[in-house]
Amino acid sequence: MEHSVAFETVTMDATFWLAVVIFGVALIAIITEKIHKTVVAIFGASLVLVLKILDQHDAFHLEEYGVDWNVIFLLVGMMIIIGLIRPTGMFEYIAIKSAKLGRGEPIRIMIIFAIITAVLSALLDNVTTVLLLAPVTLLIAEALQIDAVPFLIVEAMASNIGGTATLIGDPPNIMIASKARLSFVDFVIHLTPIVIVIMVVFLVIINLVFRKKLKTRDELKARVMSMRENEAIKDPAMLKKSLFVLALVLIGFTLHGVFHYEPATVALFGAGLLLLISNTSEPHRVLAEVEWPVIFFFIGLFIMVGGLVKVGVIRMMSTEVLNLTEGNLLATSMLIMWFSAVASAVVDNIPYVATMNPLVIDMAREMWPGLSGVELLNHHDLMPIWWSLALGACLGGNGSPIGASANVIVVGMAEKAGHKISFLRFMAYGVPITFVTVFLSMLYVLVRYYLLG
Amino acid sequence: MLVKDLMEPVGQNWLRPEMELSEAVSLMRKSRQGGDVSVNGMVVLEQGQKLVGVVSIKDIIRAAIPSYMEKNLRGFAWDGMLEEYVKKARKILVSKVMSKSVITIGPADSLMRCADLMIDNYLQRLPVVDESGRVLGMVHIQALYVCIADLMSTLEE
Repeated sequence: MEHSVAFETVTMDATFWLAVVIFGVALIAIITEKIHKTVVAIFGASLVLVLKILDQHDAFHLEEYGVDWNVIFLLVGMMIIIGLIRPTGMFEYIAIKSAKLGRGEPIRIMIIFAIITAVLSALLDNVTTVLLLAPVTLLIAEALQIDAVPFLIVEAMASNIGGTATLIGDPPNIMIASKARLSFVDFVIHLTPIVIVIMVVFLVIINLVFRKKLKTRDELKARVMSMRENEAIKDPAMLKKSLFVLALVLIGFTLHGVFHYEPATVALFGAGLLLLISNTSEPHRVLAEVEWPVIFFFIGLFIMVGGLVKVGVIRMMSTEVLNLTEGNLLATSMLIMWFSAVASAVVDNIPYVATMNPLVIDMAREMWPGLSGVELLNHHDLMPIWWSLALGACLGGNGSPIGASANVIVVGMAEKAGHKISFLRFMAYGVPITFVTVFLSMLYVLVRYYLLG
Repeated sequence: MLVKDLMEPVGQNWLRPEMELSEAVSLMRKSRQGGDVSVNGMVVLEQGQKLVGVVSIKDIIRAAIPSYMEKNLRGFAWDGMLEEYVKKARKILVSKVMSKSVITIGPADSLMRCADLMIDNYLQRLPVVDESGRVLGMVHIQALYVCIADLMSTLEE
């Protein structure tokens, strides 16, 4: 069925323009932040249904046009797990412990915190990671009487870099994995190596930039050294259960391809198991910790983008991209990577990737009309395009304070603590780092997939 | 008895929103209610007229606690931390710490209404405002308590 659809000519009728206008107006509303993005997405999606651009069956049950439940349940599952782990104090323990590992030396703490943020962001979501680490960062910076702002910006950027490394690290990767039928291990093989290289370069850069600037006195270091990290642990029994389930979930992710489970199944199992063994009698408290506005933002977006796909807008755009690059896959990869980086710095990378996924799939259909399913989606020559999309969209988030949710959170928390981070101050760090990291990614894709083939 | 009978006239006991906390604190220290103790909360008036908020001693204490001191971080304070934060809090403006949604009461309202409002909303004081919106004074919870305690004692006899 997919193929006959892909080659009909697009009719630019009223429905076509309605879908375009709904999505365009929604995107403007989201960018200008006049209306909350979740409200925009829900209302936009309802319009798509009411105006019959999609019928409800398309939106709720079809993979091609509708809500990607794999993404939704992966997010919900992980949010439940994190919601249960958070009160145990595990993250604060790790942070205080590592500040002491840095012996109270600011630059050492900055580098250790950046590494921890990156690793946690690769395994959990970025927002949670910075939400947990920023308060500890502020505390340590105050104890050492140094400026917390560079630490917070470095953490936001480390979280965006680290999140790029795995399937579950960043929403764009979750969405790409689901649409492109890629496994956790695929991401580990193809993205983790370059993210490690990027992280090393990133650490070298921050070491050069901040080594001289961050100085503190010995008696202030003693304050950090006298903190007892064990005091952060509030619930040792629950902590043990959490670590057990977290380990199980990570093993599940690593093996989900082998056992033919979707990542969402793994996350949901982890959430269910941890809820069960936590003996909670008040699941509503745990479920209240799930970020429902984010979840409904995704649901609304999937439906709006589904509308665009159904009326053929995406197919037109993919044809345009192929015309532009004359079907050259190397050029297409590079175009997608850099365009994604710039686009993700300016708009939320979630709607961006939601739009790009079907575009890449349509492009693949035009290039390899005989193929379908996994053969098409995981076509050897298509893979670098998926990786370019993931790298550009995730790393581009560092470009501005609104480029990624982690940045928004960090700027907000800093302001609440009396450290205002201006748009330009963030960009002074963010733009060069984005450029360097995307440049490294470009070299990686060029060399690994095109020169070495 | 009515609210106006328990009310402490506003007099000099008010703050400006653009005052710094250090100034507000010294005004609160100098103030007197019922002739002996200093007040533990004041109304905030714009141009000495318009009620824009209330500052309590709790608001002032809260201003000295950093925003990031959350549940799991409470164990990690160092000696002298409070002093450092109080030093920073001196410059914070009254308008930043005051509670803005102020519940008020009229001078002719009953004491039962006054007692109920205070208990239901965890209030230590209630500004008394006339129909034109002018602030006449303040009922402090101690005054209400003394009134109730007196009544209990007399009823026993």
